[in-house]
Amino acid sequence: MDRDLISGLIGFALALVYLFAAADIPTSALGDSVGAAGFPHMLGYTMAAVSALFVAYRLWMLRAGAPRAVPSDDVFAQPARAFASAAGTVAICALFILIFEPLGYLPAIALLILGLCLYQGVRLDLRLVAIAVGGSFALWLLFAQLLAVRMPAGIFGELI
Amino acid sequence: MDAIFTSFEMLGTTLIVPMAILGMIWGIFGGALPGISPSITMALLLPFTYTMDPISALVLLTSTYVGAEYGGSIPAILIRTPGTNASAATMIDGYEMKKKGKAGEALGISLQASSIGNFIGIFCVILLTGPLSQLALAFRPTTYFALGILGLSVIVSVSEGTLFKGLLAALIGLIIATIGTDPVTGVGRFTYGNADLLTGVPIILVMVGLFAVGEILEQIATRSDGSVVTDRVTRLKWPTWAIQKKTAKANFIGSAIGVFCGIMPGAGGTVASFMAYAEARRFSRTPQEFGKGSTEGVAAPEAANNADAGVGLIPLLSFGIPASNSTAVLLGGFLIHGLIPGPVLFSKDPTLLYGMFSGLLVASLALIPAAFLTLSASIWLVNRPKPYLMAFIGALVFSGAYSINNSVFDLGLVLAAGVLGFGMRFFGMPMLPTILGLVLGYMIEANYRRSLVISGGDNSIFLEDPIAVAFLGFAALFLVGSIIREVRDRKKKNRDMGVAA
Repeated sequence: MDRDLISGLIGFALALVYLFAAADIPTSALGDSVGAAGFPHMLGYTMAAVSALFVAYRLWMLRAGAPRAVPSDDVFAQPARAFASAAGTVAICALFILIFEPLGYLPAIALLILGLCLYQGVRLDLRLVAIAVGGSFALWLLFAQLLAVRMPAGIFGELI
Repeated sequence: MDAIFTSFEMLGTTLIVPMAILGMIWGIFGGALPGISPSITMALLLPFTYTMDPISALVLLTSTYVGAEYGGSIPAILIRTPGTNASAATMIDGYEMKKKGKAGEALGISLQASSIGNFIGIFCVILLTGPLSQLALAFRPTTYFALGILGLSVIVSVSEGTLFKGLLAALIGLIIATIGTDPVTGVGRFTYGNADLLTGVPIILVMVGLFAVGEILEQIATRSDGSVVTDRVTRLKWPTWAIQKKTAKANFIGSAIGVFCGIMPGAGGTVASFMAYAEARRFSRTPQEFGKGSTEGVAAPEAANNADAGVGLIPLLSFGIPASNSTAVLLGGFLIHGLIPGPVLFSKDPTLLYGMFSGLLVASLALIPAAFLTLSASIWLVNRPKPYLMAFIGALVFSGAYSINNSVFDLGLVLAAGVLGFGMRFFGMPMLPTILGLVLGYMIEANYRRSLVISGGDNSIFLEDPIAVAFLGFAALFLVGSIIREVRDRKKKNRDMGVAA
């Protein structure tokens, strides 16, 4: 399917969701003539209009025999593969966020480096483990020691 | 004038010099890594700047910006992979020189041209920013509203892709900017009881997510071509006097075009470097050498993209409107310290900006020794396997994001912005309008509503301000011009397809 058409449809759907959410903005007694919901409404309607025009324009172009819009970048030549790959990376990062505070900075970062490397096809061996642990320690030195950022100690920090 | 002298005095009493050198080295490394743009290199530094004093932070970021523009030429010359988009033109003759065993000479010419471009660009910034910012002293809320609309229209019009995509991207940024407390009444909007969202979505986190996390997601989804620098004995060679004489004209042409494109909103370093390449060939005594390892073909684009980078600071420093992704990140550096670039900052604290200028000059001087000293490390870095690099950048991004507010919620925001960035890359949507929408959203809404409060709700107040009328007129012209250009391009494409058939 034409990617421009899809982006127009997504834009339209987003505009509707945004307008729906903007309807819940409370009115203030101190309100001006525009109000807290005024600007979001303007943006929502503008986005809906621009998206609808974009969809209509693309449909008209496709009917006129224009080629389907494909990104010039080869990266997304196989969209299903690209999205699956990105979803996997997002899942690893989301898991990292979940374990970040309970587990603590050092092990969580080491696991993130390990997970992302393994996901990209790096073989699990001692070298990789050493890189993940060493990298995590280097970042801990940078942030926690040099920049004095209070990083979560986690369960292992509490045990020590 | 006093401010300039004060800024030079500051070289000895503040961290300007070490920050300029550090930023320059970090920029060279970042620029040398294919796929890591100058804006990403700068965005990775943003969390570190929180604890710094404003001058050190701004010098660090701007020096990174300058260093990355040069760093991009290293992989372009050595492995035919431009580290930045703007170095794609350098690749044409740089790689041909490398094939002839002249990689060291090509790197030297690129370094000299970058330095010349840098100095000319910075000179223009020092010369023009002050007077231009004085214009903005006459601005009222109506003018600021119109300026915001003009800034968005210009970026939307000149961004890659169709006008529709630019508009949608800008609207996404404006919509994100409405999350948080309403600027006039203080009512919470789209916060859903989440205290973390009351102050709005932090621009810095969105920038880091869109640029860095989006890039990681894209890079991991891409197969690497595995290009490595096999020539480990490459040494940077400063151009001989004969080569310097031969490339002088190309350096001048490149710098002039860089300045021109830097002033033109949205033209950018890539356009500047390719224009400079074409013009240098046109005025060359040996145009036949272009494409086959011409020294002028390396010098012109490098001078152009570095001059463009310097001049690109002018709209940001004069009016607070960033004209590129990199200057948008630099704006983030200002906002972190509660500073809004523009005329007020110029009159209130000129030493801050002049301190930044002197830092830029130090960085430009430091570029030459830094390039010599970091070449081996840059080559080592370019040769690192992509999986390790992406994993470390991911770890750095999340560590940096957490360090801002010690909040796990921020990590989620960065990841969400990364997903948005990936989606926008997939659909070929430009990211600068989103960032600009996010940055200008508050300014546009607050000044629009303030104007209406002053006029008692009468919209004709915008027509009573001649500067605002001019800005809105220009904004309309940009949008209409963009539509005309798209229609013309479409007709030309259809005609070409008809001829081909």
